Amino acid sequence: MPVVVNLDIMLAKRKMRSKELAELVGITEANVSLLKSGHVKGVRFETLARICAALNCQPGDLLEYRPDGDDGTAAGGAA
Amino acid sequence: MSSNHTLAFERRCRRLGVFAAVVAGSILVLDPVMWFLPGLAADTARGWGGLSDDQTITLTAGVLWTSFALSLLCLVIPARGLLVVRGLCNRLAAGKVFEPETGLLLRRFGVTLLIYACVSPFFASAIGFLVTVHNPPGSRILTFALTGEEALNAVIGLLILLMGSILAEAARLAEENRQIV
Repeated sequence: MPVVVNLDIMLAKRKMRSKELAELVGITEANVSLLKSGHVKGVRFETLARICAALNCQPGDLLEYRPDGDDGTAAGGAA
Repeated sequence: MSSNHTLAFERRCRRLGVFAAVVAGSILVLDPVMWFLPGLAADTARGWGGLSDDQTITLTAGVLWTSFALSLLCLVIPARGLLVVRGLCNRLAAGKVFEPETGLLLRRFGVTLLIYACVSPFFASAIGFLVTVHNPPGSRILTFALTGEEALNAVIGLLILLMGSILAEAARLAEENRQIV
């Protein structure tokens, strides 16, 4: 899939752990891991907004579109 | 759902599954008994062929075995359906209620019922003809009957097939939703 999730990069920049982000956003740590690895079919706008608020970033910092889809960390897209 | 309720549900499902398997086996075991137990073959033949008690039939060895084979072949269909029910009950007992495969099993049972409703009149006609084929000319019978029972089986089969399709699709959508965070 051509949409790449850069959540792990943002977590490293903000020096935040997945567990902490999961608690702030209100999703499970497992879902954060799935999101980081790109193994999700989609992300709700509500969840995306909470992640952006928690990481003080823009959606564009988290999601990247690569047309050739040559990166393994790709996700299904925003829901 | 409390654990007591879950255990009771699991027990009920497993018992229902066992019951379905026993009925399936009984159908297949009783059929040869009905055909080959002395004194029952004629009644069995008339029953299958939809013939009245005063209708003459000729049960040679060949006719008897062929009719039995046809009846057994026909009964394999509902027996197979009951084994699908057993599989369904086992899945429910294992807690796999809202999964696509459960819906598919339900669909399979609906299809089996529908097939049985469609083909059983043909088997009945064939057996009715076979047991009268050696009668004197003028007293051979070829009938084809569609009763309310077949119509009801077909409707119920269609409904179960539809329910199974809906359950499978709903479970698929739920699974997809689970993958949206």
